[in-house]
Amino acid sequence: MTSYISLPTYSSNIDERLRMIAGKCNQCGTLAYPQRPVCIKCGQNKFERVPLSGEGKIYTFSVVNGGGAPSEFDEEQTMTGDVYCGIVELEEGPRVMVRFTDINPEQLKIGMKVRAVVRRLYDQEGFLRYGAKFTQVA
Amino acid sequence: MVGIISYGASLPALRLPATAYKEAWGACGARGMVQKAFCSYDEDAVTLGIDAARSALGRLGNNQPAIGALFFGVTAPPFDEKPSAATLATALFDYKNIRVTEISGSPQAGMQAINSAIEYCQSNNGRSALAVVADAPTAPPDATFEHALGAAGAAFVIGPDGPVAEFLKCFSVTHETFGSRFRRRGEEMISDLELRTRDNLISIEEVGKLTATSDVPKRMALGVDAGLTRGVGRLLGNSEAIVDKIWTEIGDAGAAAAPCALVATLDIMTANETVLAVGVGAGATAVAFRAGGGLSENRRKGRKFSELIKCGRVANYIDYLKHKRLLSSRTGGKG
Ligand SMILES: [Zn+2]
Repeated sequence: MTSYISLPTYSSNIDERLRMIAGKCNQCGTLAYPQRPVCIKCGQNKFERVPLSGEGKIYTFSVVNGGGAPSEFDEEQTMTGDVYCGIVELEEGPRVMVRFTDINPEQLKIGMKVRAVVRRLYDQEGFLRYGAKFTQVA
Repeated sequence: MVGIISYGASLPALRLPATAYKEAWGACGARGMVQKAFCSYDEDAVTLGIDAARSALGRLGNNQPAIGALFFGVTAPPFDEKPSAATLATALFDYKNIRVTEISGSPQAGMQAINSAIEYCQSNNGRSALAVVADAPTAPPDATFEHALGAAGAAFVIGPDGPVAEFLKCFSVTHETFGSRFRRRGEEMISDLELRTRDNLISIEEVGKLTATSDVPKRMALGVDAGLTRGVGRLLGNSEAIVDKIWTEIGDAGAAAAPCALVATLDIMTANETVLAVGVGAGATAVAFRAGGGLSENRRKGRKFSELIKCGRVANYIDYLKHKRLLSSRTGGKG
């Protein structure tokens, strides 16, 4: 959800990125987030748009130390240190790859409750991209 | 009567104590400031605005009205051209039939956005609007006036009835300034020639003349620094007023300063009390409200401003400079 993608692709699914809109399969009800062209369960290709709550818990996580992050995060990592990313299992079911923000690294653990917030993802090609990151539930 | 249906605020993740400036520069130029709130690397006026708006809309649960217009008050939007207000609307609403207006140019922008939302509701019978204000002004780190610069966001849902607070009156004064707080086109950072022109004092005095004929508000929500706050009751002809002082805890939040003071005041007001919120800079915009019967229920549904102040993480001065991109050779403070 956060690594480099072209601006046309980014703009075409901006609702997913800013408002967490999932695709709900018209046939079997399976939720796809990020949205997909065909249902992973039944193969059907018609979806209803449904908003997700943005709440979930950490399924797994990684800490990317200095110099290890993709180039679009290079400047950020120089300025702020380690990058925290992982997979969040959303309340509604889908598991999604995310970046964490405002997380106390000592409290980072599997099962921790998190919620989505809109943040600046990165600045590339002279353009800013905003999207969901996940933060600790206070 | 048109007024506030719901409100909310957002503070960025990080706090810098004033002592950090004493250690780095020998003194803190923001006299009276205890600490300030500032944006982490991935926050800006847009992310604060979205967060504040979600807080205000979230308090309404399933009773959110359709929003016909969004007014965004901000002096430091990330783009000079390309409306950040459209990013807000996309992040907040699943409909596109919404008018967005960005108001900028001075720290008055926040109160101007609130007033514009009120006027939209007055002239479009039955419709509702959203005023979002957020700011994170930046200045060169070796400028004394930089020390005060903080960041914050607030949002107000305005509608045909104001159960939270009823709109009473707006007062505006304008006067051209020469050398205080300006930013030329294309520049990232604000300048201030620090000529001690008393511009803001004069603006407040002018507002005082206008409000002299109205009922005296019990409370004042001010977007001004500690020095101005001390004399402001007298200048507004209301020495008895209770003046809210969030500036000492969050710093100078630009366009968001006065609206956040309004949020902090709504957090503690009781029904029927009145408040005058005053945004100052190249003139002043003041808006008076009377708290309504729905205020206490609304504020129970969200976090108080005093709680938001407490929950930030304290950083040191070098981290402050890094998060604000002030040490970056690539972006050079470019926000
Ligand atoms: Zn299916």
